[in-house]
Amino acid sequence: MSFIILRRALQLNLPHKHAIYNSLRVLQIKNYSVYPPNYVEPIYHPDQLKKLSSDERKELLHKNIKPPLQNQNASVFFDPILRKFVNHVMKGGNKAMARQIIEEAFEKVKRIQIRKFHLEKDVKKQEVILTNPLEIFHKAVENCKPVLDVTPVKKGGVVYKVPVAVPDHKAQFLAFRWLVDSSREHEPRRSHTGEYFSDRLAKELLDACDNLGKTIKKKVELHKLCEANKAYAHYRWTK
Amino acid sequence: MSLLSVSRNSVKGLGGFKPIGAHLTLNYAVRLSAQAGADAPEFGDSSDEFRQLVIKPPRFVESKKTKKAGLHMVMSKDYKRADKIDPANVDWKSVWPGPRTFDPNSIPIPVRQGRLKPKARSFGKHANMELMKIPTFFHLTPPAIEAHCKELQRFCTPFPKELDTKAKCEQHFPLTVITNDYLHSSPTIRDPQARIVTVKLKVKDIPLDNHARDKFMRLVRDQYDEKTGTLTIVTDRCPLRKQNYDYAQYLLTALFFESWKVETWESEKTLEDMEVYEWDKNVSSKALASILKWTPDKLGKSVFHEPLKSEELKPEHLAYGAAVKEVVEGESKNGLDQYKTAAIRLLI
Amino acid sequence: MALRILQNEVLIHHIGVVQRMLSSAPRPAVVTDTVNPVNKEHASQEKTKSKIIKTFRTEEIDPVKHTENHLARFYTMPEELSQKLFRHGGLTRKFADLCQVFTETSIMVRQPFLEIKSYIERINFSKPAVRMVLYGKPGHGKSVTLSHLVNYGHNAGFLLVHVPWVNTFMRRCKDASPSESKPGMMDVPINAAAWLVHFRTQNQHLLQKLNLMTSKPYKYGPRDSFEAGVPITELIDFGVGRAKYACDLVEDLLREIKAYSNSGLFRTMVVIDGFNGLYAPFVITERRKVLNARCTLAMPFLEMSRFDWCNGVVVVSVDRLAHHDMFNAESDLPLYLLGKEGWEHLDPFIPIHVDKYNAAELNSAIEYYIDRRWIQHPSGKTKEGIAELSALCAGNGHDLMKLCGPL
Repeated sequence: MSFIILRRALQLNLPHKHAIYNSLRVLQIKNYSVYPPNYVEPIYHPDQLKKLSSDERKELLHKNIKPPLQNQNASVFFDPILRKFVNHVMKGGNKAMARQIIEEAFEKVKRIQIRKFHLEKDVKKQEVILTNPLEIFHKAVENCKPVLDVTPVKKGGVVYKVPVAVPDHKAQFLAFRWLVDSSREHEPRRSHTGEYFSDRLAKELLDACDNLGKTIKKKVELHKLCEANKAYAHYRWTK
Repeated sequence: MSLLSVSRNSVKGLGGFKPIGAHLTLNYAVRLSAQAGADAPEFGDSSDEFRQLVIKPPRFVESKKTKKAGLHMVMSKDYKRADKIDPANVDWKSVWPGPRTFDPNSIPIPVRQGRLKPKARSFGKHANMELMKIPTFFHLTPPAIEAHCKELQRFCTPFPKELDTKAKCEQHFPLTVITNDYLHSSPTIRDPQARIVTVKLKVKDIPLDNHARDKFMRLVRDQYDEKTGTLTIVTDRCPLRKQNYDYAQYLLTALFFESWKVETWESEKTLEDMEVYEWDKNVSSKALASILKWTPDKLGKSVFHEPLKSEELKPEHLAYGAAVKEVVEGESKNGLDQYKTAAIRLLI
Repeated sequence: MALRILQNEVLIHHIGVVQRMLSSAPRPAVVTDTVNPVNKEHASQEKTKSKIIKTFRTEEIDPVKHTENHLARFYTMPEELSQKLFRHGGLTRKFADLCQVFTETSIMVRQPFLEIKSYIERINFSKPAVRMVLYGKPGHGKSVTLSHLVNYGHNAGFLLVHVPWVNTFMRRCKDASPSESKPGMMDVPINAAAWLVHFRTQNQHLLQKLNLMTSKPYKYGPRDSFEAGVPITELIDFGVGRAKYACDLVEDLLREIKAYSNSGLFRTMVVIDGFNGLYAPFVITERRKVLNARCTLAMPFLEMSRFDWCNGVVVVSVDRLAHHDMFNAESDLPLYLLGKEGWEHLDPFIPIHVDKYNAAELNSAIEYYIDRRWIQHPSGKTKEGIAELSALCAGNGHDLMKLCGPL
């Protein structure tokens, strides 16, 4: 939107035309591409700093370092996986809203689990109940990560779906996407049920943590497809 | 022939100064003679010096003359006069008797004026226009003023001994009238500023009650200074000082009597129109009276009593009233704390 | 083994106490209700375990007995009592949610409550009703202090006239219709009936014991009239059943209570949260906004907060959030929020400031959240995490609760 306004402003004969044009150029540049390749990634969290050896520190002293991103911070409650997940929930660049929704979902997860925990009188059974929403989230993502994926390979005019191993970052991407997609299904339902996205995300996280629910089903279906196409596996490396 | 001789003569007459035009004439003549050819020896008889053929005449070079310095650049002849002045023993009044533009030759000290760039030398006092622009006060040195005052003392009367403190002065002479006299060495002895009369008065010296004081303050507006409690009236409308003084007296009289007047419409003023919160006229004081006079048989009777009479008011009631006033006039945490202590004393 | 555990626990307890002493707020270190470590040899393992009291909790569940020793400690209400007092409102919505999750209603003993309590104990009840006004920033705990006070009033034997949040009927009323008895005003029948239910539940025991009767005949409709001498419980039941007359009935009921209270039969405590909401110049229902109309249900509560009766105490709170123009409200101070009318109505009153958490209270709240698992993040239990939370919430209890939400 601001982009359009700036374009309009440029068509007019304004005194600060060049200044506006420059700011437009800054907008067009993608986040980090303003920094030349000799700049290294920032270390923004104290924990990361602790892990560095003294040699690494010495080396970093004389290097140019990029500034941290807006959503990277030194809070003790910072979690890098959660930071990534926020980007998947985000719509239209509204990151603050996405964060708020996820925080709400976490709170709802916690409410459900803590109530369960306090109602449970048996100490041994209590210990089994997971109440940390971040732990539940991590476990849910871990459970949703697929091991195998299919990739299309063209062979004699026929496209085969060939099962391949998934690298970790792609598995995480798929897990995030499935979690968000299955929570977003039938989205305008809110007016009927009064159920928000955060409610469904909370439910989905809890289900996925117990290896249940729609997201896990998506993973299992993918695995089944891989299993069915096992015969084509050698197409991965034969020409 | 005749032509040739004329040309030669003209060249000689000019001496060392040979204009280009003459050279051209000469050249033309030489060429003519060459065409004639036959009688060359005749040509040599006319002069003893070796005649040279000038093909390209030397350029006219103006002699370099040093320009005479302009008058403005000349240092005045007595520019060392200041060095001869001994600052310790000089009678300064005679050196600098009156207001004057800066004169570097009369000032025996190094004065300078002007902004310096880094590493630049300072501007001296000589030929410094900046120093000449600013007014000087060298004629107002303490010894000079002292001497002036001594001369003037002959015309003064002694200050009354009884008025030894400021308080006494204020008590016996509450009204201060300030006028200025000017003395000129010009054709006219009048100065327009001499007509202005300033009258100063402490408002506490005027007998006023609450209502009159309120009205008085409204009438004088910003002529009253809250910090010192002084009313200042400046009159300068009339051409003469006497007239202005009379006008100031009239203003004071009119202000005084007008403030004491109570108009009929003033009774219609409601609490909302009040500029200051008066606790004893407001609901708060009535509520307090009602609470103090309430007995259990008056259940549900929320009609407020008349406020307490001034002799019934105890110190805690007055403290409460002051606290309410402070809160109503500008609510703050501190004001509320005061109100709280006052209310607790009343209610518990 | 048991001995070692016990000693360890006691040691931890003492360390906590010492830490509190070192923190800025003064606080008595020794508390009478903690376990007496002298008899530890004889105590069985289970008994010692259950007896160990955490430093942020107190076992004194009766607010009447709360003193300075219990400052910044949580007491837990019995489940039946919280059901009785707050079943139909009385705890703020978010606090009630939290209590539901924690499966207990715990309230921190704080200075404003003790202050009110000390005033109530010193009041001469034969004099006109004393009014007190709680004020402070949103989230600093005015409503929770009032809930604590309601519990106190119940235990101290007061008849409770408790309005949990004025704007439930001023700004979010279910339905509004023009009043028949008071032309130009709006009735809020459903909310009035709901309040009657709330009143009946809170004062069950007193209403049964006192067996109050109406002092004069009442007539609401052509077929609905009451003779003098009908039990007041019957009147209330009628109001609950016939919501149409509930608004008028509340007024009559409160007049009766005022009269009985004045005669010295019992003492009444009036607790109104968001009192400044009663001065709104309009009534907002879920569908529409009725301008320039006062709500009939506001009138009896305004009448209750007058000083023209005795054997009563009135504690109200003023809140920026209850202000009729809450988004543009500029101050949290009572004169601004009440307006001239409200101020003159309540003056003279005792203003009581509810301040943000001090260091001891903040620590106690965080410890309580850790104990109740509201703070789950492992870093939240470390020194750095606690420091971060304390800095972010700036002593605001509500903000702390919200901050700890996703942790």
